[in-house]
Amino acid sequence: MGSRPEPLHREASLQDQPLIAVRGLGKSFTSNPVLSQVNLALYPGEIVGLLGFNGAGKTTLVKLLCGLLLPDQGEISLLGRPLGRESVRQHVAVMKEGQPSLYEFMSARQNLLYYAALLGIRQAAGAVARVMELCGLGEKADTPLLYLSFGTKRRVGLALAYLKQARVFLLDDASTGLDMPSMAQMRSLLRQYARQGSTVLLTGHEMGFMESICDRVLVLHNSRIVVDSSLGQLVSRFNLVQTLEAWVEGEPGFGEVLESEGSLTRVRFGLAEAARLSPERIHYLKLHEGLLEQLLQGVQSAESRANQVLG
Amino acid sequence: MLKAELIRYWADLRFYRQLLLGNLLTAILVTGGIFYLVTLLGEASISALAALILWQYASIPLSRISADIWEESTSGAFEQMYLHARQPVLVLLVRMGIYAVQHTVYAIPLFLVLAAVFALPWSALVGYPWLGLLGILILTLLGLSGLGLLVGAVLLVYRNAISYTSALEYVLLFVSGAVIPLAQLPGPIAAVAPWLPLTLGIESLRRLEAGGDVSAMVLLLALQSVVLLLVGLVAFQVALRRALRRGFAMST
Repeated sequence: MGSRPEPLHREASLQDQPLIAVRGLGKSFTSNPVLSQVNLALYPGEIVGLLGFNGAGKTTLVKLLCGLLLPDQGEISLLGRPLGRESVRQHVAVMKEGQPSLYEFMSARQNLLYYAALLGIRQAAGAVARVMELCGLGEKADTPLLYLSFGTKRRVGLALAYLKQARVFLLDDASTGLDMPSMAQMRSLLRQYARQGSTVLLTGHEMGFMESICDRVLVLHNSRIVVDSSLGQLVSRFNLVQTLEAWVEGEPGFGEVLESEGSLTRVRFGLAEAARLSPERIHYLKLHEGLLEQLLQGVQSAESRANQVLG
Repeated sequence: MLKAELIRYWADLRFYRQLLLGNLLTAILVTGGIFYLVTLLGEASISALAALILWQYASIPLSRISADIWEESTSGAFEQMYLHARQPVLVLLVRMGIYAVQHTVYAIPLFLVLAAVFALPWSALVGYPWLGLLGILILTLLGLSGLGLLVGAVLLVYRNAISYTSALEYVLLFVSGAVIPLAQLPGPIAAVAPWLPLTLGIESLRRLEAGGDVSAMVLLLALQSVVLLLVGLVAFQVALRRALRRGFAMST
C-alpha cells in the first residue's frame, strides 16, 4: 500500500444542501416527551456539537438520526430523501454512548472486515488496511477490542465510517474516557473527516473538547433545540465573556478576589483586564470557564428564572 | 453475509476457544452420562443415542444465539449489525447454520465414541438408515432455527428472558422423548410433548430404527418446522419494529 492514503470522500459540495434535515421531530417514551418539534440541518464539511444536560434527549436524537429509533412525529431526510434503512446503511456511521458498538472479541481488522463483508465492499482487505492506517490503528490492528482503550475503540468506529464512506458520522459521548493525547488525535481525525465533505455530529460533556472542535453547536433543553449557532455568533448573541483565573503575587487591584494564601491571591478577571498583569506576577493561569459552559449555565439559569416567574 | 458471519465465527472460535472446549467437554459428559442412565433403563439403541445428539442441537437457539443477542445488545454490536446488514434476520439464520455445521463436526465423533464405549453393535450401525436420520436432522434444524428467531425476538423485548433459556433446554431433554419415551410420560406432559420442536424428530428416529413407516410423522415434522420458522420470522420482525419504536432492550 502507498504511503499516502487515497481520499475516500468526494470533495464538499459547493451547493451545501443539508446532508440531514430534520423537521418537526418528536419522540416520547411512555407518554413523556423526550423530543418535541425539533428542527435541524447538518451540512457537508461541518462539525456540530449537540449539547445538553443528562436526560436532555441527545442520545435519543442520535438514535433517531441513524434509524435506530422511529420518530413519533416529524420527518428526517438524508441527502434529500426520507431516511430509510438502505440510506442509513450506505451513508450513516454511528458510535453510541458508553458502548463499543462493535464486537469486542474481534480485532479492529476483523471488525472492519466483518462490516465490509456485510456492506459488500470489494477488495475489502486493502480498503480496511488503508482506513486503519488513516486512523492510526496500525499497531493495534490485530488486538481484540476488549484489550484496547476506549479512545482506540472510538477510532475503530471512525475507521468504519471511513470504510463505508459515510456522509454522516454520529458520535455520541465523543470525548468521555479520552485522555489528552487521544482527544487531540480524535480532534484532528474528525476535522480531517469533515473536510472531505461529510458532517460530524458529536455529543459530549467535555466542554473544552467540544469548544475546540465544533463549528456550530445545538443545545437541547426541555425536549427542544433552544440554541443553534456558530461559536462566533454565540459570543455576540449571548454576550458571553471569557474569564480567567490566576494565582498572582500580591494584591491584583482588579477582578474578583477569591482567596489568599501567603503572598499569593487567587483572582478571577475578564480577558480585557489580563493585560494589566505583568507576567512575572502570575504563578498560575487558567480559563475560568469556556463559552459552552457559560452557554449551558445560561440556559439553566434562564429556566430557573422562568420557573420562579411561573411560581 | 456468509463471508461476514464466517469472519465472526473464526474470531469467536479463536477468542473463546477455552470456553468452547469446556462446553464441548460438558456436552460429552452430559450426553455420555445420560446415555448411561438410558442404557440402565434398558434402551441401548442407536436412536436413543441419536436422540440425545439431536437434543444437543437445541443448544444452538437456546444457548448460543440467545447469548449472542444478549451480549451484542449490551455492547451495541447488535444495533451496529442491524444498521449494516441488508436483512438482519438472515444474519441470524446464517449464524445458526454455521453453528449447526460446527455442532455436526463434533457430534459425529462423539456419536461414534459413545457407540463404541456402550458397545452398540456395529452391524446395527452399518445397517442404520442414515439418510433418513439426515433428513430428520435437517427438518428438526429448520424448526430449531424458528425457535432461535423466537428466542431472539423475546430477548429484544425482554432481556431477562435469558435467565430461562437454559431451563428450556432441559424441558426439551426430559419432555421430548430423548430420555423418557413419550408413552411413559405422565398424561398432561405427554399431551404437550408432540408440540415441542424436538419430539417428532426423536420419535421418528425411534420408528426408523424399528423399521416402521415414518412418512406421516416426517410430514408432520416438516409442517411443524415450517410453521415454527414462519412464527420465528414474524416474531423477530415484530420485535424489531417494537425495538425501533421503544428502543432496543439493552439500551433504552
